[in-house]
Amino acid sequence: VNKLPEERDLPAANHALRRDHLVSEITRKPTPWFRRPRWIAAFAGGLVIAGTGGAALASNTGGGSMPSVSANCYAAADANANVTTVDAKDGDPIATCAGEWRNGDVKPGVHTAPPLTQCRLRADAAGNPMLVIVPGDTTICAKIGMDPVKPATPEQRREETALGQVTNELVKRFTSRCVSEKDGLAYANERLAAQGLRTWHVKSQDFSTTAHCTNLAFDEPHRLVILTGSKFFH
Amino acid sequence: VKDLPSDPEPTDAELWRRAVEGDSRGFGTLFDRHARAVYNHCFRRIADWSAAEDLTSVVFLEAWRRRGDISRFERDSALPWLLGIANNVLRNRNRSVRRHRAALDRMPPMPIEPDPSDGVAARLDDERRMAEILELVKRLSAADQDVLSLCVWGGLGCDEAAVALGVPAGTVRSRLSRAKARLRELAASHGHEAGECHPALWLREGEA
Repeated sequence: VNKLPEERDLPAANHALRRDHLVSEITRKPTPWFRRPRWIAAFAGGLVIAGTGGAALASNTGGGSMPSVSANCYAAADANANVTTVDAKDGDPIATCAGEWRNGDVKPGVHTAPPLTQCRLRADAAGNPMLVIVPGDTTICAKIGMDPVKPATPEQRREETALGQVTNELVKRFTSRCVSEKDGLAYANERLAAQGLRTWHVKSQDFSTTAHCTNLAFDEPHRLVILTGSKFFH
Repeated sequence: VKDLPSDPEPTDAELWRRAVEGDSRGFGTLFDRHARAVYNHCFRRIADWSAAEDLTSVVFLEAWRRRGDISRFERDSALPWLLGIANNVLRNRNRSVRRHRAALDRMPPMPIEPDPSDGVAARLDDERRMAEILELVKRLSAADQDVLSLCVWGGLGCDEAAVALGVPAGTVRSRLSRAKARLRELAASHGHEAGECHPALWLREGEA
């Protein structure tokens, strides 16, 4: 080794594609700011957890990885403001967001965190909870058409983590093979108990001789894991 | 309608101003001008051409996100500022990629170009050589690595590097001096002649 590698150009086709991509990104309309948190989006096309009522059903798509709870921090209570998505699975999303502010990563040039409030959109078209963190006190949520979210207690955070773990395990099991109703119930109950989720229960529905593979759904308001019969496991 | 004279070679500052005001072509032209420098800078810090390509996109996305930070460019060039952003992106690589994950996911798949086997081999050889160099350089402090990569490898002057790093030019000079001294020691202890530095470390020094 006696020489720094020669400079190279980006491959021509890749250069053009990346250039066009950048141009399209900067002209792109702002992301709808009440988008779904990533821990739900991680199961896009699959798992949905209802936030405001009603059972939300899910098929067993999605990977086997732990859902990544995320929070969307906005630089202002404005849909056009900079947004920073942070990983918040290990703690308080507001505290995590405040850390991003202090790092100068939410609003360029600003290294202090303003008072932050987490707001929840009352409902989206799919009935999913939409969470954002914006500067302001709790009155800001009403001003932007949302409801304030009380900070989670340590117990709620522990439960959220445990539920994420159980979700991960169930999805992994039910997508790897066709699991019968009996085995599905046994496994789901066993995993809930193992994680100390005593207020959660499991019920099964819609199983038949043809719909004999377990698919997964959640009814969060009623704290139910729902196992539904399906022809397929996927 | 009065014809305006064409501007064949607008400055970076002018292109940037146009982009911020809504003319996205200005941003595309800035990418054309500086993507190569950013790409090679990223490669020299991580010894991986493929990852450097993705990071080049991230650097420009991050530059756009931070567009409110910049009021003027040193000597009318956006490059020092872009390389400063590149250093931050490289330092917080996972977080930077995560921040722009949604945008990156919207990128169409890269075309598969026929790549002659000697091209593949040359790239692999580049990566191997760069990794060996970095093995030595990574013994410097992060701040000294930044200065080395900008001034020696990237060809920036101390004033430009100062813009990239957000520190006074005098600090750049002292860090550079310290980095060179330390590298001489390291090179000597790694089998190079005493007092001589690894030739690759100074390749572009004369251009700085």
